[in-house]
Parts: sequence; structure tokens; C-alpha cells
Amino acid sequence: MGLLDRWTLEKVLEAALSQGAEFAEVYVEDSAQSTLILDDGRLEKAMTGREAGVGIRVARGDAEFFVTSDDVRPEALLEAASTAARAAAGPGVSRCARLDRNRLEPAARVEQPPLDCPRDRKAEVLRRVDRAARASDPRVKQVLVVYRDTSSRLLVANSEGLWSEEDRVYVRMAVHVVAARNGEVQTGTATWGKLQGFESLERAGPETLGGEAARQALVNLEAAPAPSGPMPVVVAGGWGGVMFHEACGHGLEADAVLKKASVYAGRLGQQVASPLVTAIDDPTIPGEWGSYAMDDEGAPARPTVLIEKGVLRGYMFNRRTARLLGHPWAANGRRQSYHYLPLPRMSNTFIAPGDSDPEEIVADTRNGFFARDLRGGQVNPATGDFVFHVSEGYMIRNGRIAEPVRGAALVGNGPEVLRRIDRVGKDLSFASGLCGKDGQSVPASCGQPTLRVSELIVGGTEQGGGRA
Amino acid sequence: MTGMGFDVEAVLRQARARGADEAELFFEATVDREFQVFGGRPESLSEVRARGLGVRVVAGGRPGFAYTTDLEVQGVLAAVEEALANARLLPPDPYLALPDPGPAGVEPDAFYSPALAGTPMERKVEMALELERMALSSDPRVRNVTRVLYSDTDRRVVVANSRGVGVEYRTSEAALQLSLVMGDGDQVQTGNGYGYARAPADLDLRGVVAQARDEASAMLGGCPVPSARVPVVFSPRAGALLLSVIARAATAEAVYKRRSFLPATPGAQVASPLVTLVDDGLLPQGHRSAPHDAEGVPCGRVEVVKEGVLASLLYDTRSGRRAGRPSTGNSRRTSFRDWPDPSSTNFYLAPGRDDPRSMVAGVEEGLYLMDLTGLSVGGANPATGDLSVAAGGRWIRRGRLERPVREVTVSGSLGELLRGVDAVGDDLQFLPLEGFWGSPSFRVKALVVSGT
Repeated sequence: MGLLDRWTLEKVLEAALSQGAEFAEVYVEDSAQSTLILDDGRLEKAMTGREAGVGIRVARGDAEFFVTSDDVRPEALLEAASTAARAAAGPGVSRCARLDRNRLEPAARVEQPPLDCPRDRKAEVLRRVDRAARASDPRVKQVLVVYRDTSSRLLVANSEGLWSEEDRVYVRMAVHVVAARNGEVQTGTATWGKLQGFESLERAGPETLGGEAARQALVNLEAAPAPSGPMPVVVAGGWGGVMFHEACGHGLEADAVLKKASVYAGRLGQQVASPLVTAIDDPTIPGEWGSYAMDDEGAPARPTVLIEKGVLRGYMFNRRTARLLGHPWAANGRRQSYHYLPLPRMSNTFIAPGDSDPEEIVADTRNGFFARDLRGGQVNPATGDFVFHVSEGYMIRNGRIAEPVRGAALVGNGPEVLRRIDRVGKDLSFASGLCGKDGQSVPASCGQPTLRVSELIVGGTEQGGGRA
Repeated sequence: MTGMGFDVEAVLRQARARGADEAELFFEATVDREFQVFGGRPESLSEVRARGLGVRVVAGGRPGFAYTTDLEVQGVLAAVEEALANARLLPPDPYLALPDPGPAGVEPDAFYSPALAGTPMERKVEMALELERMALSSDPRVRNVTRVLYSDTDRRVVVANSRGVGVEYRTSEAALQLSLVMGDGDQVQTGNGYGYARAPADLDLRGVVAQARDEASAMLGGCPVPSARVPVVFSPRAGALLLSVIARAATAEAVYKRRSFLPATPGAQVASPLVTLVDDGLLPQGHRSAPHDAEGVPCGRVEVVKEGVLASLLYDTRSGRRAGRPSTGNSRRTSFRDWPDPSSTNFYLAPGRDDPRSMVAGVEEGLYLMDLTGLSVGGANPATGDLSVAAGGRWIRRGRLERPVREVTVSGSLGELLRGVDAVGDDLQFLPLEGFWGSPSFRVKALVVSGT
């Protein structure tokens, strides 16, 4: 069962090409979303929505023109295609190739589609998270649980004959806990997300997520303000990978390379990182949060080696940047919805495991900082300067994880830090987030093993700017 | 209220017939035009039309919400059924209510310029190309213009509820974003500029270029400084970024849920007497200005902090009922897909009387702070007030701006920062990012700057 039939697709593409465009594309989306929010001990919000529409893109030379329609009836699509065609008007006549439907391997197996799952069953999962977080300690004062599932049917067809379709199902949960004692307030967070059915959340264990967020808030309640200054920093896996994602990954997206807005532009084949570092973007990991069977331009997913033993090997492309930079293929064109043009974006991006034992990495660090969990960060792609907020951190003293410290930020420069990675563990793990760029948000996961940066600036709130 | 494809009154009646005690419809239609130019050519012109409906019901004291882009009668009625089914899932909410019709707001087109629709695309492209040329020639050290983004939005909103609220308005906006890279030997630094107006012709191209050039030029060649606790002078841009966090803590909802460092009781001293914080939903040039908020309540001006004393929080209908106060017109939705939530509108620190230059001149050793990074990604916690963000700017020595500073963090607590303000400038400027925040230059007695 297709979203649109061949006849309509070909008509729309022909109309889009009719004024001289060299390329035309139709992106069709029909998606349903369900969101539940539990806050302050009660289920507070329950919302559902449906959205359907089409984005039509035409290209002539280096320029692209894009229009959308919320009306998916054939006559509305032809109208939108004509608007796009006029914007790309020029000499020349292109014809639409015969559409050849591409059968793709699904990126995940879904046992329990969220659309068929009763609302009560979803609500019960949020209550279980809340109960688990509160049961862990009387100092837990607030629990916020946000659940969202998205079920999308997608179709991409273009004038070169491409026709791909994919159904995607995302399930995601975030838990935020506030713990308090004697007027002191601290927070803890746990997140989880998969390109899988509702069964995957039940299997992951709502209690585990609630307990984890509460544990972090309680650790922070015991923590002293973090010190400041440069020191060796051991970064754990999971969210630790957000450092590579932000500080390096965005600079390897081909639009930044094309505009020379990246420190990695023109450096393929050069040593850009410690020889211990191999980094990969892989949208084919089954069921992972950033996975897909096709990218949002209809190209089959495939992995990209970004850095191999410290040498820069590749960038991530969408169709447009691949053409402009002369790269033979593109599999990272992604968009938030049919309202947006595809951009080159990361999928599941990670530093590959090395051969160190994670415990030994800490044991071999005399004094330093252990970032067990990071929460978000920001980077300037032109300079590589970054900042990451540490949501759970400890001092390392005499090769042991010692007292927890809070409020630390890690500040540095992406290329510098990649060169300073001197240990890489065996223990790869992933974390799922929503990655924002140019006003578009897409599911992306980051990952890494435990690793050590020989020196990084820790910015803490301890008074007097004291040193570790 | 036409052009929606369905009859508002009939849908509200139908919602009540199906079991809703109250119902509200929020219709929104937007046209967004956007393109970037690069290397003297426009790329990726887009014209995105989105229209949809958000349905909120109250049934047995329980709220429910659903949205749809299917505006045929059966699509709208399906959304009503969804909203009712969602409401059945929730416990009753004692404070829940939709607003009653209030006094008339300002004119429906108060924040709309017909000049937007009248400006041809060619003219907009010319402006953006001109901006790129101006940026490239603004300083010999400009190596690259990495981003020239033009965007405009024409937005039409209708809010109607079963208590008789029925408002309709239209807003327009045009914006420019510029990023450039400046270089000197091995050193590179980016600079960003923003322009914002109701129509393209009112965009200040020179001002946008000057912002980006001055920011890059001031910080080019920066490096970390030794850690110290010193006075910090915030530039208007850095101040506006900081206010985005304080704005999030200023809603009654955040305070009730202990997600704000601000106290619940008006009258508390929360800042230096030099500090007055204002939320103004009717600010003429404001990005978030509208005649009515997301529930159809007229927008207005609220003094949140007056001369250092907490004067009022920001309320929507529900949080106002909880506090026994009227809504301040601070309900917001980012689109028709959103459940309405309390939020700031255009939030700013009121200008003071100090000359920004004398503020720097009065510092023996300290930081002139021009850029803050990481605020929205965990660097500032509105719940605890903890602040730890990456910063860039210039080092101040003996009252003069000296070497550029980069890769340092500034930390402290928001409460301590607000109480430590000892000078506020007369140079209020607004920063149009996701919200609209404004600040003059101001000085804080001491914050921890962490570097080498």
C-alpha cells in the first residue's frame, strides 16, 4: 500500500520539471504522534496528532527551490509542483525517468506498533517510572516523565527514477528528577530512545530509567562545587559521545565543509586525531535511534568511516553537497519533516572501541576528572571551540573515582581534544538525542567507549577559581 | 474567521455534544519563505505553507489535546474525539479553565506589515546578496561568509473557545542572519549578526554586518586567561543571552514546580536595586509580540522585577487561577501542534543610566563578556540557578579593553549574579533568536572566570 501511486508521482514530477528544471523530487509524509507527560505526581498532558503533507523540490544548476503542501490530493500536488517549476524556470527540457520502486530492508522490527497500543498501557509505563524514582529516596521531590512515540510513513520519488518508501516508528522517554535536602536542590536526568516498537520500552525497564535519573540527582545532592582548571579528563561512554558529535561530527557534515565553515575542510587523508581514534557514522544499526533504511532523499542507508586511526577519511553528504564536492554517493540527507529541505546530518555517530580496560583507564590516572554523564553542548564549527555541561562528575584521586562534584563544564577545542585522546576503552555504548541544526531537529544517537583526554579545562563553580 | 474549511461554532458545539464541558480551537496558517546566499548566488529557496488546528477540551475537569492538518470536517471531528479520549486518561485538574472573553486587545494587524507580501522575491535576494558583499568587504581580515540566511513569516491565528472568546490576528516578520569567519595568521574567529523587522525594507543591513564584524574582530586571537574571581561587564548581546534563562524561571508554572530559582512570593528582594526586568508582549519591534496570547487573552506589559524586588510572575489562565490572579497574557504555543504553556514573550532588562565605557573604565582587572555558549544545553540551570558557561570576550586591565579571551568558563549562581549588578547601561539592544531578549550593558561585581 503506497502513499501515492506511480501515475500521480510521475505526473507531479513532470509538472515540476515543466519549466526547465533539471531535477525534481517529491517527499511525502503521513505521521502520527502521541505524547504523554507526567509531572508533579500526576499525568498532566495527553496529546495526539496527525500530520500529512508533501514537499516538492526542483533544482537547476546549483540552485534549489522547495515548496510544500498540506493538501495531498492530486490537484493540490500538481498546483504545488507548478509553483516550484516556475521558480526554477529556465531553458532546457528534462523528462522524468520511469520510476523504479526500491525494496529496502527495514531498519527495525516492530512488534508492538505504538498506534495500536492502548493509551492506558502507555500511561501505566509513565506511572511506573514515577513510582520507581520516588521509591528510591525520600529526598526525591519532583519527577517529570516525557513520553513520545512517532509513526511515520515516508515516500521519496525523483525524476531520475528513484522511488523509495519507509515506515519508521520511534519511541522515546526522558526522565528528569529534582532532589532536595535542606533547601539545596539538584537534578538528574535519564533518556532512552529507539527506532523500535513500544515493546522495546517495556523491555528496557521503566523502573530502570526512573531509578537512574533519581540516582543521578542524589549523587549531585552530595556533590561539592567542581573545581576549575586544566586536568586529565576521563569521559564515560553513552552521552560522553556527544562531545565527538558536537565538537567534530558537525564539522564533518559536508555543508560546513563546502562553505569552509569547518576546521576539517580540505583535510582528507591528514592526521586529525590521535591514532587511537576511529570514528564512524552508521545509520544501519538495527533499531538504533538514529537509524533509517533510506535517508530522507531515498538513498539506501550505509555507514561512513569518518576517521580511521586518526586519519580523516570521509564526510557525511546529502545529494546536493555530494554533487558540489564531487562525491560519488550520499546517504545522510535528513529532514525534520516534509516542511524542510534535507541537510547532511549525522545518524548514529560514534568513536569505535579500543583495547583498554575502562577500569584501568581510571586506575592509570593519578589525579583528574571523571565525566560519567554529559548533557548537551555547543560548538563553533569554524573554530572547533566547544563547551559541554557535565551532569554527573567525580574527581579522580590516586587512580580512584573519589567524591562527586557538580556544576562542571568541559571547555576546549575539538581538533585539540581529538589529538589529546590517549586511552580508548573496550566498552562502546550509545545515547539518543534530538540534534538541532538550522532550525531542524532530527533523531541522532552518539556513542563512544570510556576514553581519556590528557588535558582539558574543567570550569567549575568552586569559589576563588581554585585548582584541582 | 473564514478560510479554514470548517465552521468554528459548529465544531465547538459538536465538542460539547460529544462530552466536553469546554472546548477551544487554535487555528494557525503560516507561510515561511527562506533562502541562503553563498558565493554571490542564492541557494535553496523555500516557500513552506503550513496550516493546522489544535483542539483543547475540558471534560469532567480533565484537559485533553489533539492536533491535525486535515481540516475537512471529518478530520476536525476526529481530532475532537482524540482530544476527548486523551482527557479521559488524565486526573481532574482543580485549576483548569479556559479564559472568559476579556477586554479587546490591540488591533489585529498591529504587528503585521502588508509590505511583506508586497515585496517580490527578487528584491529579498538582492538584499541578501548585498549583505554578503558588505560582510566580505567589511574588514580585510574577513576570510569567509559562512551564512547569509534570509527568512520571513506571514502568520494568521484564530483562537476561539466555548466561553465566547473569538479572536483573530496576523503577524509578519522578516529576518537576516549573518555568520562570518575572520582570520589572522593561524587564528580564526566567527562573528554573528542578526536583523529583525516586520517587513524586509526595514531590515538594517549595516547594523547586521557591524554586529558580526565587531564580535569577530574583538575576540580574534583569543586565548584562555588564568582562573580568577573578577568583575564581569556583560555586553548587550551576552546580557540578552543570559536573560533567556532568567525568562524561563519567571513563569508561575516554573516556580510552582520548583523549576525556578525565583521565590513564589512577590516582594522578595531578588536582585540589585538597579535591576528592573520587563516582559512586554506588545513591544512594537518584538519577535514574540501579538495582540493576543495562545489562549486568546490580550497581551500586555509585566514588570517581573522592579528595582530589585520580585513584582509579578508570568501567568496563563490556569497558573493565574492557582494564584488567584488574572492571566498576564503569557500563554504560548510554538505552533498549532503544541499544548499551550506559560512562557515569556519579549523579555528584557530595563536600561539604566550608566555609560557602557565608564563601566569598563571602573574595572582594574576583569572580563568584558561578549559571548556565552552552552546556556540552553545545560550550562545554566533555571531550577538551581547554577551557571557555568563557556565565554569569550576581552580582558580588562586598568580600565581598558586588552587582549581577546576565548575558551574560558564563567560560573556562579543566577541569584548571586542578579544581586551583584552594580552598573546598568543606557544601551538596550534586543537579540532575535528563538525568543526575543533584550539587555543593555551591565556589570556584575564578581564572578568566577576559569581558564588555565
